[in-house]
Amino acid sequence: MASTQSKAIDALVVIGAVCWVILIITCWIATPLSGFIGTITGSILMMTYFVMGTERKGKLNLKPVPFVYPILIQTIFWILSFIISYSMLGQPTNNFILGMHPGAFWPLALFWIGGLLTGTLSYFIFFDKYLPDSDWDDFMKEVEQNKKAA
Amino acid sequence: MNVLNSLQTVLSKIGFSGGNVTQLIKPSAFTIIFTVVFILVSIGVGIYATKKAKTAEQYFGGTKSFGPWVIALASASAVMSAFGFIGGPGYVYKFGFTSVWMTFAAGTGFAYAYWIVGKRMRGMAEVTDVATLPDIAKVRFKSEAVRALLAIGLFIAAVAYLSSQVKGGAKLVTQMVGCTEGVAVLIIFGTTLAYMIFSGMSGSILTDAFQGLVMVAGVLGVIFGFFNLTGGAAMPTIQGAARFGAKFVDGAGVLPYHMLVVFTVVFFIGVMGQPQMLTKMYSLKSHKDLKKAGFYSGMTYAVTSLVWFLVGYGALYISASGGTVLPKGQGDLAAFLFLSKMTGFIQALVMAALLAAIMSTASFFISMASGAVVRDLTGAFGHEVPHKKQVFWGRIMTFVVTLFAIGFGYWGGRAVLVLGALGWGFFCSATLPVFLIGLFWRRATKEGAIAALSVAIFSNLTWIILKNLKIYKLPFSDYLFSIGASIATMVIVSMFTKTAGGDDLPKQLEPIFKL
Repeated sequence: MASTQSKAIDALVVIGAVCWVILIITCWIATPLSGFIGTITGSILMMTYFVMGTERKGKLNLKPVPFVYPILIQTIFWILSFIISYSMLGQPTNNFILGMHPGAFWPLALFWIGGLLTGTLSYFIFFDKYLPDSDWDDFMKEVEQNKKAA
Repeated sequence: MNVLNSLQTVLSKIGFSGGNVTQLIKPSAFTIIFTVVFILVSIGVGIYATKKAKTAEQYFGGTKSFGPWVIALASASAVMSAFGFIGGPGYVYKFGFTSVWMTFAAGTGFAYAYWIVGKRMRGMAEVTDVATLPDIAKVRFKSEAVRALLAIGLFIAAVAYLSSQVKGGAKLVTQMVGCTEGVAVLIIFGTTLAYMIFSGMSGSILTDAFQGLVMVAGVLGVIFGFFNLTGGAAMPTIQGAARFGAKFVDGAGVLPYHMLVVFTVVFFIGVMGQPQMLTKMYSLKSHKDLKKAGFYSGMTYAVTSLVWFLVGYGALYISASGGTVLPKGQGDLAAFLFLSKMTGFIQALVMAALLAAIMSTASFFISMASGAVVRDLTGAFGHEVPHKKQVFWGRIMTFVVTLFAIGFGYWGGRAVLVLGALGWGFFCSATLPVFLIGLFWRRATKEGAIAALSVAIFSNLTWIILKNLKIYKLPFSDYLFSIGASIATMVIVSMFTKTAGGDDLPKQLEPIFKL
C-alpha cells in the first residue's frame, strides 16, 4: 500500500507532467496572453520540482527553510519578472535604470540576481540541512549491507 | 606562419581547404601568442590527466575523481558552449532581450539541478559501477533496452553537435590566426584529440576546468571593453535608433512573448537534463563536494552569461550609433563585430575564451559518444567489452568519433544543419524522464522509460525533418513539445505498468530513494 509520502511524490510528478502539457498548449496558441499564462505555469512547474527536491528519507521538507526561502520567494521573483516584462512590452521609456529599460532591468534584478540570491545561495548556506553527513552515513551503511547480501 | 602555409597547401590538395574566408579581424601578435599558449597548456593538462584515467570508470566518466572547483569550472565551461559565446550575442543582435532570459535561466538552474538530482546521482556511483549515464539507466530500470535507447540518443546528439561545431569553430580560428578553415579544423580537433585519446573524460574534465578559467578571464575583458565602448549608454542609444527601437531593449525582446516560456523553463529546468551536468555529479570525489560544486558552478556560469548579454548589446550599440550594420541572417557575426572594436589585448583574451568555450564542450561530447559505443551499445546488445579492454577500445573509438564528426561536419551538407539542431532540448527530452522522474518516483517503470525515450528520439527527429522539408513548423521551439511529450509519456505509461517500479524497484536502489 502506498505511503502518504509516496502519494505526495505521485501528486508532484503528475502536476509536473500536467504543467508540461499546459506549456505546450499555451505556446501552440502563441498569443501574448497565452504566453503570459505559460510563464506563470512555468513558475509553478519550477516550484513543483523544487519541492520534490526537498525529499529526505521519504519525507518532503515544507518548513520555512526551504519552503519559504528559497522556494516560494524565488517563485514570486519569477512571477513578478514576467508581470513586469509583459506589462512593458515594446514601450519606449525615458526612465532608464542604471542604463537599462525598466522592463529589462527588473527581470535582470529579480529573475537573475534574485534567482542567484535564493536558489543558488540557499543551496550553499543550507547544504547541511539538505544532505547532513548522518544521512550519507546511513545511506552508505545500507549500500554496504545490500552489497554483502548480494 | 610558414608551417601554416605548408599545411594549407597540403590540405587544399586533398580538397580540405574550406574555401576563402572573409577576415573580419586582423590577427594580432597577442591573439596568435594567446592561441598557441592556450593550445599547449590544454594539451599539457589533458595529458597530465592520464594518471586519473586508469580504469574504464575513470576513462569514460572521471568517476569519483575530482574536487569541487574543478567540477564547477568544468561544468560551467562545458555547458556554456560556442552557442553561448558566439550564438548568444547573435541572438541578442537579432532578437534583443528575449534570448537573455535563456542564459539567466541556465545560470540560476545549476544549483537547482544539484538541489534536485545532485545527491542521488552521486549516490548512484556508490550503488553500482558508473562510467556513463546509460550505466545508471540500466541499473534503475533493470533494462538493457533503456540503456541502448539512451546510448543511441546520446551518441546521435553528441556526433550531431560535434559536426555542427566543425565549421563554426573553424570560422573562429580563421579569425584568430588568419589560416584557412581546413587548418582551423585541424587545430581545434587535433588539439582536443591529442589529449582525449590518452585521458578520456578525465582529461576532458581537467582541461575544461582550465578552459573555464580562460572563459572567466575573457569575461573581465568583455566587461571592460563594453563600458569603454558604450559608456553605459547602450540601451538608450539602441532605443533611439530607428532601425531598432524599444523592442530591442524592453524585457521581452523582438520574439513573440510565448518564447519566454521556452527560454525560461527549458533553460532553467533543462540544466539538469544536460549530460555535461549529470555526469559531473558522479565525478565528484566526495558527497561533501556537492555543496561547493553546485554553488560555484552556478556562479561561474552566471558570470560567463555576461558575455552573451554585453557582447550582444555592445554589437547592437555599434550598429545603432552609426557603425557597421550586420546584414539579415548574419547576426552570428555580432561577437566579431564587437571584437573588431576592441584593443589587441582584449581581443586576444576574449577570442581565447571563445575557443575555450568550443573546445571544452567538444571534448566532453567526444568522450560521451565514445563511451556510448564502447561500453553501452556493445553491452546492451550482449557483447560487453571486457572491463580491462574498455580503455583501449575507448581510445580507438575517440579517434574514430572525432574523424567521423569532422568528416560529417565538413561534407555532410544539409544533414549537418538538420541534425545540428539536436542539442539542449534533445538532451532534456531524453534524460529528464530517466533521471529526474526515474530517481524520484518509485513508480517509474522500465516500460515508461522505453516509451519516453522512444518518444524523445522520434519527436525530436520528426519536428526537425518536417521543419527542414518545409512541411510544418511549430510556432515555438519544437524541443519544448518533445520534452513535455516524453515526460508525460513516462508518467502515463508508468501508471499502467510495473517492471522496475513500485514493489519491483531494484533492491539495491532502495537507499537512493531515502537520500
